[in-house]
Parts: sequence; C-alpha cells; structure tokens
Amino acid sequence: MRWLLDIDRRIIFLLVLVLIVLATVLQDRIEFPIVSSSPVDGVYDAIDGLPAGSPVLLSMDYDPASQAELEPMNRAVLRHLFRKDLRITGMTHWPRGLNFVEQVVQSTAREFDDLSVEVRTFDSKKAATDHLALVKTKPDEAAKVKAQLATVNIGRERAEAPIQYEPRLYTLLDEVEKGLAAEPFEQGGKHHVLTVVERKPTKEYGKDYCYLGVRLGAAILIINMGQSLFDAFPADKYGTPTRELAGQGKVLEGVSKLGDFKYLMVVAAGISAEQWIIYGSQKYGFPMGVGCTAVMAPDLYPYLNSKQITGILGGAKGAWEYEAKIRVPDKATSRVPAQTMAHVLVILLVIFCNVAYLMVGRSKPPGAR
Amino acid sequence: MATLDVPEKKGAPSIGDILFYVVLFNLFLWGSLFAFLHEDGHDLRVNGVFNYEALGVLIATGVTLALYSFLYKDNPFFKAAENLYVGVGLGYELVLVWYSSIKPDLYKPLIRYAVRYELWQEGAIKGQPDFWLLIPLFLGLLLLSRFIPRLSWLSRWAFAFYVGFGAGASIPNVIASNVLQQLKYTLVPIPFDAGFLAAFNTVVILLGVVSVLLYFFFSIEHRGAVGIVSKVGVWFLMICFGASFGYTVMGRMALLVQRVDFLIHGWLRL
Amino acid sequence: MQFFKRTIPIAIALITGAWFAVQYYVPAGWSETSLTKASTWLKILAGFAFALGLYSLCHMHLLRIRRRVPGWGYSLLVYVGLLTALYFGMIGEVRKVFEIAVGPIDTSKGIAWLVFAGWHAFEPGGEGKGYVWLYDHVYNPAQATMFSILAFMIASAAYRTFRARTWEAAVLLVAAGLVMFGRVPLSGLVSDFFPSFADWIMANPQMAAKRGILLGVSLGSIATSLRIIFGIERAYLGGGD
Repeated sequence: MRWLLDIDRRIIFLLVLVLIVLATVLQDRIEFPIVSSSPVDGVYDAIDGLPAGSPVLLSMDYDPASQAELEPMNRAVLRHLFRKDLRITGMTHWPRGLNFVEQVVQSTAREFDDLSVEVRTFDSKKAATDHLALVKTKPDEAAKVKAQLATVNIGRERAEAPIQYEPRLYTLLDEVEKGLAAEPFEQGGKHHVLTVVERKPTKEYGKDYCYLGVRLGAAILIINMGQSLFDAFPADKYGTPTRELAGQGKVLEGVSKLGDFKYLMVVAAGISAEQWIIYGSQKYGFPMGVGCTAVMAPDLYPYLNSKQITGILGGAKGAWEYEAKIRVPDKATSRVPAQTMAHVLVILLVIFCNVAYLMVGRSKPPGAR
Repeated sequence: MATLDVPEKKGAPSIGDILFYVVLFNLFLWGSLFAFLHEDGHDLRVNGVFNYEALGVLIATGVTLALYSFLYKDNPFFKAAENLYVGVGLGYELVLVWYSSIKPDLYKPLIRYAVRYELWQEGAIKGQPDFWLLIPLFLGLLLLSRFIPRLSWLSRWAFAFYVGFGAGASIPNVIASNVLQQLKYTLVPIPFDAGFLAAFNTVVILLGVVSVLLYFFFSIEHRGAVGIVSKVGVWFLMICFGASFGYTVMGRMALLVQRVDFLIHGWLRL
Repeated sequence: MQFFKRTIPIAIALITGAWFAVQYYVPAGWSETSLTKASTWLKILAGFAFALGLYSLCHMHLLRIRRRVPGWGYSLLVYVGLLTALYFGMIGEVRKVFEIAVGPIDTSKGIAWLVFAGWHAFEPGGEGKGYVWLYDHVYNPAQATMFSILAFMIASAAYRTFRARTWEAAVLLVAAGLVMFGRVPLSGLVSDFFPSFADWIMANPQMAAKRGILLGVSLGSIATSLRIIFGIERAYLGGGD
C-alpha cells in the first residue's frame, strides 16, 4: 500500500493534463447553470445603478500570468460599462499588460458598432451550408442570391428581423468577418447565412472612452492622480493631452482628479487592489469594486465587509458569474467544465491520499513509529 | 564558433529521455501540420498577405511545449525557451520605461527644449520647460550613481527620499483604511432583530478577529484563558488557510485551462 | 564623509517622512501642492528605479557570457531576445535621432528600408507591429505557460503532501474541500448547501481571520514606517558605511 503514497509525480501531471484536455475538447457539450453570488452582485448592482454619462475609471492591472482569470472578467465589465453608456477611462499600472489591455478596450468598443448584415435565409441546413461554401469559393455568385438587410448591434443585444439577437452572435459575426464561419446561423427552424457589409462605430474614442496607458509608481501614482489627473497623465497612450480630453462633450469632462469619478473598477493581479483602496478610495472618497485573481480574493473580504468596496469578482468564478449577469457567455463560461474537472480531481486526490495514509498508518506493526 | 554550453550531466540521456524528446518533437510537428491542413485550420495567406499570425501561433506553441517539457525533467529546450522569454521581457520593459515614463514625464516637458533648442526658438515647439523637473532628474541621476562604485553612496539620498515619502504617506492612510475602518465593522452591536444568522455571524466575526489577534500576540504566554482563546484563533486560521488553498487551486488551474484552451482551439483549431 | 553617506540620507528620510505623515491632516493649498509635486517627482524616479533593476539583470547575464560560466549560451539567448525586442521597440526613436543629426532618410529601399522599416515588417504601413507581435507570440505565451506549470505542482502537492496528520490539518483540508467544491456550478446541482456554505465560510470565519491578520500586518507596517522615519531602521541605505 505504501507505493500508493509514493507515486511518481509525473503520473499525476499526466492525469491532470489528460482530464483537462478531455474537458476542454468536450466543453461545448457540457453546460452548467450559473448563479451569481453576492460579492459579484455588489459590483454589478453598483455599475448598473450609475446614470448614463457618469465618468468611470477602469484600472486594468494584470499581465500574461494572470490574463487567464482577469481578461474574461475585464471584458465582461467593459461590456457592461459600454452598455450603460458610461464614460470610460482606462489605464494600467503594469507595463507588461499595456498592449493586450488596450486590445481588450478597443475590441469591446467595436462590439457596439452598428453592423449592416445581409441575411440569406434557407429552409434546410444543407442549402445554407452549400451557400456558405459558395461564399468562400465564388463570392460574386453568392452575392446574387436575394438577401434582407438587418442592422445588428451585438453589444446592445439588438438585431433586426429576420434574425433575433442571441449571445451566439458574439462569436459568429466575429468569425463571419474573418471569413472563418463554418456553419450557418440556425434560428426558429430557419438557417441563415450572414454577411457583414458595413460597420458604423457608435462608441467614439475621446468622447465615450479613452485609454491613458501606463505610468509607473503604484501607490505614488494613485496619490498623484488623486491630486491631479492631468499631472499624473499629461497625455493618453496616443499622445492626446488629457486636458484636451476634458473639454466639453469629451470623456473627461468635469474630471480633473480621482474624486471626480463616480466609480472605480479595478481588475488587478498583485497588490494594486489594496493600494487603490488605501490610497485611492479611502483617501479621495469614491466607490469602487474589485476584480482579482483567485489567490488574492480571500484577502479582500475584510474590505467588502467594511464596505470599502462594493463587491469582488474573484478569479475565474467571478468572471463566469459576471458573464452570466450580463447574459454574454464567453471564455470564462466555456472553461467551466475544465475548471470543474480540475477542482473535483484535486478534491479526490486529497481524499484518496488521506485514505491511503490512514490505511498505511493502520497497517504498521505495533510499536513501529 | 560559440556554442550553447550545457552543464555537464552524469551519464548520457536515458532511453526514456530520448523517447520523450522524440514524442514532444513529433507532437509539435504533426500537430502543426494538422493545424494547417485540416478544413478549419490556419491559412498560409490571408487577404493575399503572408499570415504572420499563424506563424506567431506556431512560435507560441513551440515555446509552450518547450516550457511544459520541464514537467518531465529540466532540459535544454526548457532552458532555451525560458532564457529567450527573460530576454524578450527585459527588452519589452526597457522600451516601455522609455515610452511610458521617461519620455512623457521628463524628456518632453524638460529635456526636449534643450535637445531641440533651435526648433523651440523658431516656435515649432510650444510651451516652456518645467524647471521643477530638474529635481527628479537630479534624484534619478543620483540613483544611477549605483553603477559607479566610488559614488554609489549618492544613491542613498534618492532612496531616502523615496522611502521617506512612502513611510510617511503610508501611516495615516493605513490607519484610516486598514485599522480604523476594519475595527469599526468588527465592534458592532449584535443585530438581534435581523435574525439568528446575522447575529451569529456578528459573534463569529468578533470572536475570529479577537482570537486571531491574540494568537499572534507572543509577548504573553498562551496559557489558561489566553491559551484557550488563542487555540480558537488557530481553528479560525486553519479555516482561513484552507479557504485560501481552495482559491489558490482555482487560480492555478485557471491558468492551465487557458493554456490547454490555446493548444486545442488556438493551435489545433479543433 | 559619514555626514554625507549616513547623516544626510537619514535626515532626508526624517524630513520627508514626517512631513508627508502630517500633510494628510493639513488641508491648506500649499500642503496639497507639496503632495502633488512630490508624487510627480517620485513617479519619474520610479522609472529610473525600474531601469536600474532591468540593468542589473542585463549586467548579470553579460558577466556570465564574459566569464564563460557553464550555461553561458543561455545568457546569449537572453541577449538575442533583449536585442530583438529593443530593435523592434526603439528603431523609430533611433530613426528620429538619425534624422535630427543627418537629415531626412529615405526608407523605401536599400539598407535604410531593411534597418528602419524593420518595425513595419510584419504589417505594411503599420508602426511597431513587430514589437507587439513579439509580445503577443513570445512573451505572453511564455509567461502564461510558466505560471500554469504551478497547476501541476499544486495537484501533485495535494496528493503527496497534504495529509491530515493532526486535527488542525484536517480542519484545513475539509475547509479547502468545501470551498473548492462550492466554487464550481456543479455543486449547485448536487445541493444548494454547498455554494451557500462556501459563501458563508468566505464571508465570516475566513474573513474574520484575514481581518485579524490584516490588523496585525498594518500595525506592524506602521511601526516599521515610524522606525524608518526616526532612523532606527536603515536597511534601505544598503549596508556598508
């Protein structure tokens, strides 16, 4: 029995890998109902309660090591902020996250573009699939087939007849634009082939959102922003002076320091969240919510209890709950089966090793140490 | 000709090691071929231009598999990928320090006026230099004196300013946020009218905070009543560490799930 | 010399530390201005300190290459990665310096295209795409993979090390198991008890213990800050004289 306790760790590595690969391959076939918890509701309700046009600061302080947990929740929060028509100011403390955080902001803003979509409807899936193949091989001929024009805005959950909005449209239209759509869009017994012909942005950089980029300094930067946003960030990431962005009708109108923001959402790995609480929210008096890695989440519960933050999105769980709240199942939701498999595996490993340990302990001869 | 030097090992690689490297290489090779050749796979050209994204995915996969080879044992592929990553990270951050800190906060408001003096006199560059920034420039140069052994003591002045500010500014902020506010919500009246659970939770929180604080108070011996309370503190700490462990598992597994997701859906395009 | 090497830095720490501790309670305009100015200067100083840290790492690898220590070839790879990233990221600035010194450069053909258009190389007409490409496809996956290795380690540790040798360890493992199970949606399908109980553990006993730790750590950090201000704690001076 002792050999059970001394298994080569590479066998355990292999077991973990095989189970997670299996769960990832089968992820589309497994679905779990997701119910949000009160820390997540705290963030959602605070953002949902803000009037349209309120200035909000979004501090996205993470790097590739924490991207897996934080990017899905960052994207979900951004979708919510854009949907509420809030004025979003994005920034980051971490140089290592500068570029992909920018990509998340820009790509989420694009989701709110009004898309003019040609919809070709077919009664059978085969006819639709054949047309899809024709689009790739003979696009001119495919264009001659009669189509209806519909305006779709996936960010606002709107789609005109003959199609209705569904969360599936998020990934489907993305694939359509990249020329990667493999299957038609099935809805209400009909099969539609979609072609995006025009894109009109509804979210304007400088008016609805801006991205300040990165500055070093951590707590010192927060104090600097609390005193004067223009001193802390003389220009945004693209070189536009922040005083210009504070003009009439612009994103920073009425904002010159931290206390002028109506809400701060911090999506952070590391100690950024605590620094924002101590040197930002507590000192300059504005409400804030935190999204953090699962490792950091337990440390933030005292601040939640003392109402220094409105809510916590903790790790992947916080991300998939927020995706459920905003009704857009994305990366975090798709990873639920693999995450569940991993948790169950670790629990079983702990139970199994303790049972084996007890049995080995009992099998020792009397007097043995 | 310079070659990669590997620390000398006792004995040649075993059959198992060679087999592992062969399997890993073939996994990468055949997986990449599959990723390009199957129906929903990567395209070599997109809109008439070479698909650099697909090339990037291949490189990312190679780096990922090389780093994962560490799970079998430490090997040259892992070391090579690790050091390449360190180098790219260093370069990336050095560039960012220039673009995000030194250039906008020091070069543009001050040094540029000296470097492009003629353009400034012609009116091509607007504004006036901010001479207050001579102070952080001076402090920054003091910091860099660490590279000159004879003058490295000058960097202490810059560090003293930095550390002094941090120490001073933290005191009132930490008191307000982490002491007073936390105590305020611990020492609350028991809300009997809010139901049994609310009242029970208030007692649990008060008991937990006091017992944990007492456990860490080592100036008195943990005997008698103090010993009992500190023992209760230990139980609370065990629950706390257990919960933290549970969350740590969740966090670490999420990272692995994301990498596997990349390999299955990003690389192989299944 | 001791006056310059020790007394002055301690005096600087005392004056800045004491002033910015008191400044919190002084609402006057000049007080706020001092905080604004100091935080702006220190933000710049943070950039120098960051560069200092990065330089130290570069220097260590350079020494390894010079001295041909075992494994120095890997340090060479560090420099390959470093110089590639620096080239893609800084070539635009190098071009500007050239143009200030020498005049406008035609980058449409020849060596000038090869050198200065390198940062355009991966997307015609773009700027700095090579730099972003390198980050997206080398640094990003490498760092994510390095940290994901911990998942295997934690599973291995869970099996080989986490044994309930005492009642306290048993409590730790039971709490861990309940929280881990309660955090996945599968637990809600089994019974509502599991997610609710996991939430209760996090919001009450776990939070209470964390608050106790937070109070202790905060009081300790205040004590350390006071020791630094009054010159009792001098580790930041770096030792030596």
